[in-house]
Amino acid sequence: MNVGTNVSDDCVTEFNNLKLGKQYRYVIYRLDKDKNEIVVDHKGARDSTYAEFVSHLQNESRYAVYDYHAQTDDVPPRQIEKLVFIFWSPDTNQPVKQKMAYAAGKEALKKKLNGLSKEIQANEPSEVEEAEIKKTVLN
Amino acid sequence: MNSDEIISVVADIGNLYTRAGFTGDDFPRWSTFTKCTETMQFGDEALGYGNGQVLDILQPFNPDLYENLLKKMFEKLGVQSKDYSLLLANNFQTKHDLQKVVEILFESVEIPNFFTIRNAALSTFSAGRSTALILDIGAYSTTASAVHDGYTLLKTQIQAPIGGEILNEPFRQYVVGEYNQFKKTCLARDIKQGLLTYEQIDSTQQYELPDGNFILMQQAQLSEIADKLFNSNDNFKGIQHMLLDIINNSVNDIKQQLCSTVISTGGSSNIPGFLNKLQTTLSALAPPMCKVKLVMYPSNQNRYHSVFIGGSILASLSSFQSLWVAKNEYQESGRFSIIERKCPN
Repeated sequence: MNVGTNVSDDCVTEFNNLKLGKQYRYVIYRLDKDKNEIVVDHKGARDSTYAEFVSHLQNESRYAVYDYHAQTDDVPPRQIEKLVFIFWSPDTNQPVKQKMAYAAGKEALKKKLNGLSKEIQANEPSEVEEAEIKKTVLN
Repeated sequence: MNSDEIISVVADIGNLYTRAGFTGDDFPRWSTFTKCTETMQFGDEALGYGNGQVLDILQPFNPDLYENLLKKMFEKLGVQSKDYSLLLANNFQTKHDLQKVVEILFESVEIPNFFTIRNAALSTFSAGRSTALILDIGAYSTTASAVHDGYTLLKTQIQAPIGGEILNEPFRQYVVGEYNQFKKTCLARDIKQGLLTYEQIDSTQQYELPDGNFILMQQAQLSEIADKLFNSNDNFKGIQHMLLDIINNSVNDIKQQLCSTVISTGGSSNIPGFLNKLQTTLSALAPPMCKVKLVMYPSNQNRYHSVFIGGSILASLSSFQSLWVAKNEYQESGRFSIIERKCPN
């Protein structure tokens, strides 16, 4: 359900830089409460590791797009590249209102990002481990 | 205009309880029974100690009594209905009933703005999620729903005619004294809330009645009563099967997400041991690749008011303010069609 949260133009620009320009491995977004707008929080260089990405997902909710590359188990193995949308919504310590504002704003952001293949919702660290994202991409 | 300062009214008018209050509050300021006396009195004093009949406002839906309840609500909240937008939880059985209520609200109660959204979606939001499998154990019925991105998936929604009130019955026999039916039910409900448990306790459970006498019950007796929610009979499969049916009927993409975001709401979810029992029962039956995970509310109190809290937060978001249906929009656009357009379901 789209509750009309604003999405800054930057969000789409940087997403396209990732998708088409291949400038980044990931883009992380946050909700700017004062402006009631989703803005870019972090951009990860093309050669960033997954661990670096996860280190940015702490005690506050975040949205992210990750350009994930995986190899299938086929012989010979196939290369798969997918844009994965990750909704990080940790249960610990966040006020419900903030969690909900993020939950409510998700659709507004997703609508602006064309070309997302998969989505993961993660509420604790184990749900956003690399193994999880790999599983999602390969299925 | 700072949206954070605009206060609206939020109401969850259920079959047994009505809860109403203001956006931003985590507790409904007015909580009463969705019933009134023949002379239009509300509240447990009037209902419990009157001599006349107690009238149900829903079950079936009675528009005139409902209108009285709405007006009483604004009076009890201490505000003029003309000045406050209203977010009403949608638990209506038919579009026709909702349509009638919208008409009453704009034309008779005269609110300036309106919005409605399904109970299940609000319970999901108040747990900080937008996708979940919601089990709402109400007073007279239990509803299981899949909510996806804030939309309640009505095609797979299941309702069963069993709820908390049916668990009062075995405790009625202990209520002695000259009381009317309404009061007797209230007392039986109190005893139930004091005694009922799923937990395996060896000793006898006891409850002290107002007259100083004690009721003693064995664990086995209490389990038998509590298990009514899980056992199947002619009309009912058991709450675990309601959830399972939804999981099995949902598209693969969201099956896993629903399994890992199961939320139980409604007062009966607070029966000691209930959540553990639900977790183990459901886990045993769920399809192999689905890991069942129950999502908790910050506090047990939330289970009574999860719909209200969800509404309170939703309607307080500044991004939500553009979604209200205004009175003039309603009047100019052919009335109900705008509700269908602006309120997802």
